[in-house]
Amino acid sequence: MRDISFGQYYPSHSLLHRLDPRFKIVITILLVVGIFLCNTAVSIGFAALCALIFMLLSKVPISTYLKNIKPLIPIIIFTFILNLIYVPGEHVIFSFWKITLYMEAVQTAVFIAFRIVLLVIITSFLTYTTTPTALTNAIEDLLKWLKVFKVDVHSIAMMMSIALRFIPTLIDEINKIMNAQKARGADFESGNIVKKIKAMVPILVPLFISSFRRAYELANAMECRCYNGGAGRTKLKTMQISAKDFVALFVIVLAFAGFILLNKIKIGGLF
Amino acid sequence: MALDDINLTIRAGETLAIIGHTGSGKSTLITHLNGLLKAQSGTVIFEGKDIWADKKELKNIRFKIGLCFQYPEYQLFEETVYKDIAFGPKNMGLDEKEIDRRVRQSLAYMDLPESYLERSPFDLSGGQKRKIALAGILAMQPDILVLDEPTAGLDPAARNNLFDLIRSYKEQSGTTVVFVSHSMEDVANLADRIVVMNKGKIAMEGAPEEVFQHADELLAIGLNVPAITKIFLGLQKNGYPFQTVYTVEDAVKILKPLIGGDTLDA
Repeated sequence: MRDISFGQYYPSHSLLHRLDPRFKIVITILLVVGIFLCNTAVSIGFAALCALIFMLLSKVPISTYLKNIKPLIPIIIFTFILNLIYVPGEHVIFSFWKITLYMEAVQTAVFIAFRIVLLVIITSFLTYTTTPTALTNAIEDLLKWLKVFKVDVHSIAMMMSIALRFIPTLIDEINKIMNAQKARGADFESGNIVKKIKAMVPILVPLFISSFRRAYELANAMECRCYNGGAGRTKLKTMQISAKDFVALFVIVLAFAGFILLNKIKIGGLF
Repeated sequence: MALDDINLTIRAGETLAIIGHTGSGKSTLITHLNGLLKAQSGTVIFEGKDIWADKKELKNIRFKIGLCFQYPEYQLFEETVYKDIAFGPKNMGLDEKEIDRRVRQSLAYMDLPESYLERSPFDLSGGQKRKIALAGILAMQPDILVLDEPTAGLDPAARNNLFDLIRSYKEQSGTTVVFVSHSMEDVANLADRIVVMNKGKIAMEGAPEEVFQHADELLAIGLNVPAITKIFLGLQKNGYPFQTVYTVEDAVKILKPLIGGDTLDA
């Protein structure tokens, strides 16, 4: 439980850290869509290269990125095997009992595995280089137009930032509660699934109760400081768009075009 | 490094206080005692055996070394007080009758009426919740009771009350008690022996009268001595030949004959 780094900020002063968070969100969305559009080895390779450049530019250690991929390894392996078995095709590699392995299946399986890894890298780039506050401010700003439909964008953004803020606190809390229940002989490891789920009750109940307590305390503290939602609220740090933001966006649009164009090049007619 | 070069013997039947500044490693130290944390090097030996020697035995060790964390009331989860106190004994695999006996006995140790057993622990006051949580540890009948700041966040009356209960529990059951505290008064009142932690190491160790002699060193590492001790050390410095005292009761014993009256009461 200690090593959850998802949604966490990695302090640094790299170029990517200094970009406008709104542009970073748009860039991330472009890259995510782009990665889904890649379906040849060359364009996926190009996307991987882009991701690598991003990782280096962000000045966040690559091992920190890898930490985010680690929990996904079972999912990657699972989808890899499923794709390998179930994707139909024409080029048979070998056939055994009821299982036939096609060249197309290998292609799909490898590509999807690559895509998942790249997606994780791209999305963790966003959270590593952007503070939760900047991120929610940016989301609030980008979704401003929803106010026309009476959507309370500010509250949604505030809830998001509070949720992100409390992830480490809750992890801490879970560890404490687990230790306390272990000291009373609770066993979280042995037994079948039903037993394991039941063993979660002594953790979840105190966790919920303390979460509600924290929520009440936080609400009180916010009211004491006269918080009353987004209307007329000004920002301490207003977001400023500079030339480098447009340059970054331009580069990413070029890369996006690259993903699509490189799809035309197929190695061996299949990859 | 959180802990370094710790050499500590806890003697059967004693009351040992662990004091130290915030971040000195007190809590880390006691979390090692029942194997919730494993030391990178070194061993924890209980009844002649390394507690990590047999991992299956570790669970039983935790019943014998009852560890009560800071703010234990946040670990309550059952619908009734009875069920919550019974959680530990149930995990020990005891039969219903024995569990029932232990639940009632632990509640009695905490000086709460049996009518509480069917109430929800979440309807109780903070101090009462604390007592229920502590009763949940006592119900395992540990050989060593380890308490991490048992009175943190309680008002002075509730504090004294809880310490009285712990003291009388100890007298009745003969359990070894180890407790972490910030209050030098509590330590002076309760402990037979004190371990002073500083930056992950044991800075001092000894009986309260030995440790509190070194008031200057204690102050240097961000700790204090009981207020009454401070007064007596000041008196000594100014040439009054008193012996150093650590509790108000002892001070009264010394001062009463000098004043020669019954006007002074502790």
